[in-house]
Amino acid sequence: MEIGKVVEYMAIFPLRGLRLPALKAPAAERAVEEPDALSRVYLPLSYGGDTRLTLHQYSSVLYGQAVAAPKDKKAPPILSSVSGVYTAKKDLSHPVYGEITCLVMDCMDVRRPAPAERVDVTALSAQQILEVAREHAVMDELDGRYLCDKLREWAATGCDLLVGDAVEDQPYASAAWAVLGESVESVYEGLTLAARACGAGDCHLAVQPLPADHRRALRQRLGDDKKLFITRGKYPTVHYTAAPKGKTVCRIGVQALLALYRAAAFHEPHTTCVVTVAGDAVAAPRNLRVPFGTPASELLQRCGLIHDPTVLVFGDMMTGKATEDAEMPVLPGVTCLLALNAPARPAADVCAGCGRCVQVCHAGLLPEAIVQRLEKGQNEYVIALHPEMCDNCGACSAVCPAGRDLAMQIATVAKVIAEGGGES
Amino acid sequence: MTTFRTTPHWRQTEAASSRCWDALIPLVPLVVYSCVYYGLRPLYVTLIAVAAAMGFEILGYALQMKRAPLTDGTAAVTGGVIGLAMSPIVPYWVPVVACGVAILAAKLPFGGRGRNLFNPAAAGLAFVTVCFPVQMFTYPDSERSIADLSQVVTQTSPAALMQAGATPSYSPMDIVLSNFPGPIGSVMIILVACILYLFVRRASSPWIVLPFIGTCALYAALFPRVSSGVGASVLLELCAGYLMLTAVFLLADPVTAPRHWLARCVYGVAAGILVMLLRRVGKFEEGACFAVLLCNMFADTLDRNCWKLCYHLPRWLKKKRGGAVDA
Repeated sequence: MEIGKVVEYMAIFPLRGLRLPALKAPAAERAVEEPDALSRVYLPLSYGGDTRLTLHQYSSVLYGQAVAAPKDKKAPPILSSVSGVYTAKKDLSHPVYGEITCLVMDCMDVRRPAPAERVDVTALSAQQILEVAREHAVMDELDGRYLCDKLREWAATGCDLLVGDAVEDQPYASAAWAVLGESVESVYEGLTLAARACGAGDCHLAVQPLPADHRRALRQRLGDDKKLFITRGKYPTVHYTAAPKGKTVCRIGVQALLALYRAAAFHEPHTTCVVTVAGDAVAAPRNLRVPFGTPASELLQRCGLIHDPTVLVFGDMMTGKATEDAEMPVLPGVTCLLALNAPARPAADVCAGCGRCVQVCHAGLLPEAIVQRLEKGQNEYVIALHPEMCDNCGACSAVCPAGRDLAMQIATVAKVIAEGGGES
Repeated sequence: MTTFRTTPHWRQTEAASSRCWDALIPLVPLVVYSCVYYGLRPLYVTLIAVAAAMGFEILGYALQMKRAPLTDGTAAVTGGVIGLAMSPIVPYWVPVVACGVAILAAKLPFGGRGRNLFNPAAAGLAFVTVCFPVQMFTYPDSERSIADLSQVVTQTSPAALMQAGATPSYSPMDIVLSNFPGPIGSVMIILVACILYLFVRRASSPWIVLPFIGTCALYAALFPRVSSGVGASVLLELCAGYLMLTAVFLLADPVTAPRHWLARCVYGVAAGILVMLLRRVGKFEEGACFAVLLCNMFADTLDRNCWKLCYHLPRWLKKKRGGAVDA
């Protein structure tokens, strides 16, 4: 064992973060696959803003056609991810998006039309790129937000370094790696477009330490070592050491960058996502490219199940949201679907004061103290401990020997503070 | 590693109680080593203390009409540590009284395991130190057996000699091997092994133990109470009394210690200074339990203020340099 690991194990130095198991194989080693047919998809009527339905029940919809128009004309439309028939409306309790109304589309054809002739993107201005991102409804898979909104914000606040995030620091997810392996050149083109749109001074792609041959191949295809940055450290990977001191760093998911490039170069709407389907109940884990709104059951059917899972997780092991409903659709912001045979968590024990939550917290917070004060109702002390700095990575809950849900409670109070509830 | 249905789905599965059982394991070699010198009486003292602590735990919970959570091991550790801090010839009722105070006055009124403000074992030891100092600090000659208590030859401990201004005349090897009058669990060489074991098992924090021992050693080197040199002063101060036992079991108790690394450091240093000051100016030859109780009071304050320092200082420096923001 390395000396560094021994030192870390003995907690002699306050090394933050958590070392997670590597479970990306075999999905990460396989090429991205696309299903030939789907029975139905669920298209959300809105991703947050107010929208107006633009078609009648039982009307046919073509791939890329707008099914709902936003009331705010500057907001992107909701585009159909398949060619099919709108048969019904359905209210879903989605694990990631919460209560949403979806259009049930019976699929006739899930194949995307052949791409249009390539347009030269080098001459596009920042405003034109933002308009392309809006028109083609490009969404960032990191947070499920529209890319045009994010780029507009960064253009206003300033961005020194734009990072194409393909880190995938959680155990199973490898969708970003698969996208890079498939079309790293297009992703980098998308990154330069995004950097131009938000006025970023510099940009690069960031990945976790990949196998040496994979890394070498990516660098060779990119043609410049500086375009690919290898991150270090443990989960969660949030600090990019390549960032110059005192500079602002902004992140975009690589799927959104690819979509931005294809939207600009081929006028292709952003209607699909690459999802890692894995977990101990999955027979053949793999990365699948599916239209937005594909139900989880269709993905699981494609990969096969060893046994019935007790829970489905939208997202990865640390931050994924659980559901038991296999009809829940895969939407933007979901890049991993796990089928697990996991038991219910036993009841939480009393805090033994081991301090591991403090040790792993990358934000430098005192998770146990925040929760303790929250339980005692000492709200003014809770605010002084800055729970709003928590990004809900879940590391504190994962290491707690008492099995307490620290991250969930801190996230709840952080949300209250963010909404202005902490002022009272 | 285990997966669960709720977020985060991946969790390290180590029960909190396993840490207590880890803390119990090092007690065994200490008792066995003491039995080699004094016969079976140290074993009886420790077993009686453990049984008394568990008995008081059952009694305390029974009064609250609850079932005592004995399997968590905290009561057994409290009893074991009290037993080890006793003299081998202490009357059996002294550890029983100490355990009674520890469990019924310092642990259960605060809500039981994980909620106590003061270390129960330190509170129990402080009580018997104040009330029964003669029984606590009367040690037998380590060269002779104590099979018959009426024939026991008592001897002044090195801690008492140093308090009186005298210089104990023990060779370094005798000190390291605990071949001098002292508590059951004052075997330096085994305690060092215990510290390493607890570090590796992550049942004890090096951020508390190492600053504490370092401070005590530095204080002993700077202000020696013996005339036989700096090295002898450091060795005697660390090995006499139950200072090392305090470092391993009382001070590093995670429930009553701070959680933040810097607070733990400050806590260890403060406890070290207090222990050495209490030895120099205190009424008793060993006042480590009082130092632990005093430090316990400030654990939460230390945590809060050290965290504030570590949290705000880098941000303030960053802001001063020009302000970096991660989106």
